[in-house]
Amino acid sequence: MIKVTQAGRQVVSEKIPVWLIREISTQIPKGKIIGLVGPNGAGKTTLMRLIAGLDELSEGDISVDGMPVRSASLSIGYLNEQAGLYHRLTVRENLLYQASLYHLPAHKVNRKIEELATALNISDLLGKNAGKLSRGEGMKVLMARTLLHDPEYLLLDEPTNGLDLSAVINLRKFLKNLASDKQHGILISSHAMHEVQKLADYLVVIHQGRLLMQGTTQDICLLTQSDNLEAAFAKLVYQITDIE
Amino acid sequence: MKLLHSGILKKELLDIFRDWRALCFTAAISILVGPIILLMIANTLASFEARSERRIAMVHGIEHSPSLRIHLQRETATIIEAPADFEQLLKRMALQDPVLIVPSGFEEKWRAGEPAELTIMTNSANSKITANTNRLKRWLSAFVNERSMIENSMQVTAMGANELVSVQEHDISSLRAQTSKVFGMIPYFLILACLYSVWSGAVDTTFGEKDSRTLEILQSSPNHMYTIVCSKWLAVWLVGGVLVTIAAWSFVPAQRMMPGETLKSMLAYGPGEAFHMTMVLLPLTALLAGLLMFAGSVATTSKQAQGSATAIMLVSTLIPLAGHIDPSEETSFQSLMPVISHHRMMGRILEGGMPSYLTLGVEMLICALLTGLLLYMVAKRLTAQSYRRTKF
Repeated sequence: MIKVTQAGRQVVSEKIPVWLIREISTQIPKGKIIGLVGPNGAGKTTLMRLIAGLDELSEGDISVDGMPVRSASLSIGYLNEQAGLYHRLTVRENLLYQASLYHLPAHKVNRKIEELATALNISDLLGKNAGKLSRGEGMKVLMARTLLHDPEYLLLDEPTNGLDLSAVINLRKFLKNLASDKQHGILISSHAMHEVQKLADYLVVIHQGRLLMQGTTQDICLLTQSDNLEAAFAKLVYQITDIE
Repeated sequence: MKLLHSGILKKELLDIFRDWRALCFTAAISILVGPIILLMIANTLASFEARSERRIAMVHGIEHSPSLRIHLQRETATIIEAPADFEQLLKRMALQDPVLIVPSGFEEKWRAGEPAELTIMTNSANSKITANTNRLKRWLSAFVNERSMIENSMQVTAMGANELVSVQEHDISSLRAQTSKVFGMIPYFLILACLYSVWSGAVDTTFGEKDSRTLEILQSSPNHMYTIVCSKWLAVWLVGGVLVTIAAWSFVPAQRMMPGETLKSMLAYGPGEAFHMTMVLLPLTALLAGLLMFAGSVATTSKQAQGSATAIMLVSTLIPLAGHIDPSEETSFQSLMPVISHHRMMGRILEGGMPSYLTLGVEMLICALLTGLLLYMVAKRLTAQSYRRTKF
């Protein structure tokens, strides 16, 4: 389980210290999908980067199965929607490079690549130059790259961006299988409420770097006296009470 | 902590070779530009040399002065009768030599002690003619002096008691100065080759990772950033080292292709020199690869990356000029400061001396230490915290 305890990150922007997120506590258990929701600039990516060990905490603590995040890089797969691929390499070479970074045994790598390519429907792309992929294709390859070292926890920052409907449906199915069958713990951030509602077992709502609320969709709807997650979110974040 | 990661090294090499346009450009600049420019300048110098060896006196009316004919022949000049339309030809710059006009009755007037006049018709707008005009003037001046002394001696002393002193001036100083300048350019070309051979690779492996947003996969991988940086550096250095080696050896055929035996003999550049140049240049290439990688790691925009890389290239190529202020004196700073000391060592190789193994060893050690330090700084810059700070 990933445990986030009173996590905070402060940076200096134009000589003024700014808290990007503060006093956030939550958990990502194995086998569950946690939805991280919040408006633009709420601190979703910052929280994900902290959990991935890419940034340093200014306060609080994050542990992965009891270990500090820095020592848990093999357990975590982080997908950032803005992450890039090596454009001069083919998709397969990109994946092989990722495998070499994680010291995966050579005999397993090709099998794993084929397995992921089939699951994510990118088998046709393996020989294609990464620089020639469409945004949606690129996102699928990024997903394959994130999953290549078989991490126990997945941090997916806006993974459905740029994907067409069929790809979104496939991805949803794929992630649900990962959580239920392989017991991966998944933290997924998205702007699309309906998407999160369909995927997540548990929601974490943050706004302006602070934790607003967390619980199941039903809990949040009940507490905000809303009919659906979108309405609950509008009430919580924007204090808008009537959504048509 | 491992120093190298074979997967990263392999990927970086693949990446460099896939960007074949940049590689071809780099190779062309590093390998070909030096020898080509050297050959072009050598050709120009050879034409100067040929012109300086050209001993032709184009005369109109040489039959009017047999003594001048004898004098010019003694000067080993080939006397050519000027064409009838020499004035027009000179105007059109169609002649390479000035025309000496000897009027009829010149010799008789001279002997009678009357004022006699010789005319040199030239065209100062034609730079090619200038050297030949000066040479003709020298011959005439010697002729006038000689004749005057003979006339005087015949009056005062017995014939034969007088020894005519003929001062032969063979001016090769300007040619030597020009050739030394040309060959002094070789170390500059080779330092440029070091820089160009690693430039795009070094910046691409550091700033390129940020620019293409692939740095995160390196940061989140279980490898130490120093391992990643060292592997990247090795790939850049390997490619750069090969190009620099070829660049150093490319002056061997260039020297053989140089026109003019004088020039060829003035530049002793064979396999021995090329080998020693390579030994001097490989550590420098390693250091410059590290320096350019550091510039790439610090940059946050492509303009910054290009700007700092250009600044490094400019400083590295100009800094050896510091050693030219007083080339006779070598301070410990100059002998230890990379680039300046490399430049001096290359200069010594071109002069026929070879750097001692101790000097080479000290320079290698300095380069290794500085490269290690730079790579450590690059690793620090590329770790997550540093990267994050630069974003804000």
